[in-house]
Amino acid sequence: MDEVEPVAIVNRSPVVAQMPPPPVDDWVSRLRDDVHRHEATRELHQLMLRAARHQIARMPEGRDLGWARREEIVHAAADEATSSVLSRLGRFEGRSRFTTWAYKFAILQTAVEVRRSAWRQRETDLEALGEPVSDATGPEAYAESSDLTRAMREAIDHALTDHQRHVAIALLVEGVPIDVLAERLGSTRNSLYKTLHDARVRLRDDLTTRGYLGFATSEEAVS
Amino acid sequence: MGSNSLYGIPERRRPRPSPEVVRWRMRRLTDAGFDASLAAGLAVDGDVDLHALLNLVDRGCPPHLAARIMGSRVADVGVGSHG
Repeated sequence: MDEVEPVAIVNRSPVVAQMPPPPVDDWVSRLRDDVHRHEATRELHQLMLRAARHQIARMPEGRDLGWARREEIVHAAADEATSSVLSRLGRFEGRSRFTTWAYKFAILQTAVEVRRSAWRQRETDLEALGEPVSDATGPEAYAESSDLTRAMREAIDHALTDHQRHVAIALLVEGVPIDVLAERLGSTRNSLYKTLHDARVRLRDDLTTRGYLGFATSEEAVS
Repeated sequence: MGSNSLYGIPERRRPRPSPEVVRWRMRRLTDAGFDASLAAGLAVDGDVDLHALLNLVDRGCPPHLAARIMGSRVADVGVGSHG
């Protein structure tokens, strides 16, 4: 029998041998270089697809989705992540490997897409403020807890504007993911963060004024 | 399908809201004082930023004016009847 050499060495074509893969952190220059940009972008998109598939497999919400829907999300997230990476190339500082840095875009985007999908059919009433479960152990602690709960309800009812109240209940009480609410409203996460921040300042000030919190910490935040 | 002119990557636009989301958006608007026809027009347009719209109403802006400030063409249709 003829002796067989290791496949990895025998099958390596001379062309491939002459063109080793570029250094991993050569990505930025390849993505900017007119000659290599197209190929590098295609490779980046493949990387984003792998990251998106990895992330969706990790998320419990992702496992509940059908194969077709998962693939749809994977491709949407990979497209979006690729665009994000390309538009932020100038911000890559080389403190980690490029692939590690880029991977995070796909992870984040996939998580957003999966949460959006999971909440797509769910109702978000934004009105109902359910009865909180008290973890107080004794009568005194229970009384204090009830008192603070009542004060918080009053603050939510009176210190916030209608829309602030709806946003605060959705995000803080119902646990609606902020990107889901932003999408429904046709707005952005940053706009909702701003409203949430304003609502927290108002609630804290109201509770402080009425003596439920010891000291005001938000004066500098009120403008 | 549209594509990114530089890299041939498919563009993503804000999708048309699903019927459930349209109903949800419409309820948010009518609760805030928008009349039904204006609310219906704004609810179906996923590019209308309800958050900005409702913030304006929170500050005392009349709903129809808020819609016009936000550049909604829906609001212009009934401009005669709303002054």
